[in-house]
Amino acid sequence: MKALAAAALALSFAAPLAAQGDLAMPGKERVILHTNMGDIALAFFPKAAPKHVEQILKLMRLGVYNGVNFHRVEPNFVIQIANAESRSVPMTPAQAAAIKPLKAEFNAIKHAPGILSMARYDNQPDSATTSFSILLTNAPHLDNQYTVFGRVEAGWDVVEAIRSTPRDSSNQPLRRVEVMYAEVLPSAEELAKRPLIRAAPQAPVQQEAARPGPAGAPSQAVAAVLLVMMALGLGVFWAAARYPGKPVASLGLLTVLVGFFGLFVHMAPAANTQENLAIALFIGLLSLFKLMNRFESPV
Amino acid sequence: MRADRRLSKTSIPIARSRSPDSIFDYPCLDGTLDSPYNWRELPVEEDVISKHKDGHGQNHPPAQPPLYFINAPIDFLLIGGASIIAFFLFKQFHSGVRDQNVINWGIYLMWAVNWPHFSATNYRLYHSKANIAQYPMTALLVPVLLTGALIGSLWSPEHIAPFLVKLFLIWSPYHFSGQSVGITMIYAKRAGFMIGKLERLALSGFIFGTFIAPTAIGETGRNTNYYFGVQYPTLGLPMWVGESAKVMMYCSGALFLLLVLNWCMKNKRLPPLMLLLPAATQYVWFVAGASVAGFREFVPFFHSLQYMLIAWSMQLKEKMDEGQIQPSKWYVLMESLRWGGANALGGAGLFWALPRLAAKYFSVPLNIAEPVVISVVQIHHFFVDGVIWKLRSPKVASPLLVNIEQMIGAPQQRPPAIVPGIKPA
Repeated sequence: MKALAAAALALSFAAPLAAQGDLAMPGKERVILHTNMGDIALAFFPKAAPKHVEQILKLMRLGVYNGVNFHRVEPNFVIQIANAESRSVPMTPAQAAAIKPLKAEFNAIKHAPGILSMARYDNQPDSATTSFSILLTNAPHLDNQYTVFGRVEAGWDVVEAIRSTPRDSSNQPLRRVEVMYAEVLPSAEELAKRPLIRAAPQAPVQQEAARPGPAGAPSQAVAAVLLVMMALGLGVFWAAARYPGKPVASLGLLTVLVGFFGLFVHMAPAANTQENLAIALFIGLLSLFKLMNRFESPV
Repeated sequence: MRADRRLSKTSIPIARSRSPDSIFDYPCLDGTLDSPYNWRELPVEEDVISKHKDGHGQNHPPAQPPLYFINAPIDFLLIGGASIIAFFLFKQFHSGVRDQNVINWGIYLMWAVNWPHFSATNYRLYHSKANIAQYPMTALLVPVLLTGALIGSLWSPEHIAPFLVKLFLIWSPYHFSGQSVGITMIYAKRAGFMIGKLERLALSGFIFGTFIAPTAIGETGRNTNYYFGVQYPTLGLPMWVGESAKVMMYCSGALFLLLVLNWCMKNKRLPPLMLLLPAATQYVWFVAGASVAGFREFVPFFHSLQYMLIAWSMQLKEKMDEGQIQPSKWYVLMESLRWGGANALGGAGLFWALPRLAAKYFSVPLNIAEPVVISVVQIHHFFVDGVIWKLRSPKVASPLLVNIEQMIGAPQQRPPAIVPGIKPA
């Protein structure tokens, strides 16, 4: 199935791109967009849009695209990355200063599936800054109106997954789809060495999506071991009243801290769907902080 | 003490009451009370009392310590007045949105005050072998443990880093709250206001409530948030947890005010303003100011400002007592510049250089390395801050009760009239 999709993608490129000769020749660099739905690899056309390619690569190296979301998903048209100003983490002064409007570099490359096309304001051809679209279909009405500057090299399954993500009436995804970070690679060979994260099967929006942390239900055995570790630490701490000096009690507290952190990493992803577990973890955290006040203090 | 075995084992002859109601209980900046264990067992040189310089030429600390570290206006501004004023200015004149100007100023102040305050705690613990020897586990073992957490997080940025960051983000306002309680206790001691068990419970309930309530509300529902490039989930608490914490906070605050009112009526005088300022400031930071995104940017700066006033004055007092240096303006100025400069460099090392080194060494993007390193450095700070206020030097007396005039050699002045009813010593 994936091979068919890849072949279809290649064919959909081949005809129009053959007609565009050198312009559509990809440059050296490749970029991996590490999104929260998988990895998408991009290639650029420096001969078709040299200023656009130079600027986009510069911004990606600066980390401007880290945290930017796909704010628009139209399954029969495009998926679009928002302007960097709307990203989840505000930019540093250096990042903000690097963003400049780009003069249009319209070229003969057709708008076809997989093409990267720079977004701009209507009636302002030179207003493009950071937002761009990934075309999902042919869009001849955009030819010579918007700057084509690259294409999707790999990760089309992730593009399809984003295309299929549930969205609201204004074509905004219901669950935030975001570029966690954009990684610039020096060559296609380097990209070939990197395993890309494939699109994960999507859970319905009403249920929990994949959360950071160990996938699946927490292993009861691991949780039990960590609980025993914490109990041991607490026991040592309380028993240390019998012994002079602070080290024994403090070692007990460190055991509690390590055990609790392990438990936290293991259990917190499941806490989203189990209120009692969430409450227990929250109280556990507050108790841990209070207990750590006694670190290297007399019992 | 392990630090210096030449010292005799005689306890300081100053009376040390075991009752937590006693004015001689030594409050620490993390909100805990020092235990009688350290105080009673502290060995000192037989003649340290005679060498103690308290500005009065007496061989014992003054019965009533000065109310302020510097003076009324400066203490008021640095301990919380500046942040309350800033909050009202933001509400009145700024949209409150976290725009680029606000972010830029937040970054400048971070470099100038916030980062150095972390360095100041490390400096205090690590600058002498005697200090390290007093708390070796905090100084040596905890960094090893946290380095392991750093390595684990950078090796597994999707599985471990989110929870290390989450642990830090919840621990941080808890730490702010502890500091606010500690500062209240210091000023209470200076003002002669007795904080008993009930007062302490009410005060802690209110101050910690200002952190617990918004945190619990923020953890409601099933979302993911970002800290730089690290995505972390909410816990998914039910709404009633946050609402209950809010009720607890307001009830504790009301109880504390009632107790203060009771004290006023018994003593027929107003309470010292500085007693209420840290709690009011904490409320502005975490409750009133929570909806003002631009103001929130500066809360860490204001927290660090509180800290730096006290840490700076302690540093001066300790250096002058240990080195038996005569009070002088010149010494205060030069030592302040040296200490400030060293901490600014240290802060830059911890928060600018270290993340970049980690990103390079572990081949991860900076927006992953940075939040992980920040989390580890700050968790280490929480531990260090828990012990450095309990460091004891036999040559230093009452470092938390100092006033700047003692150190520049100015004649002692009467406490200002902002606290009516307190008579000068």
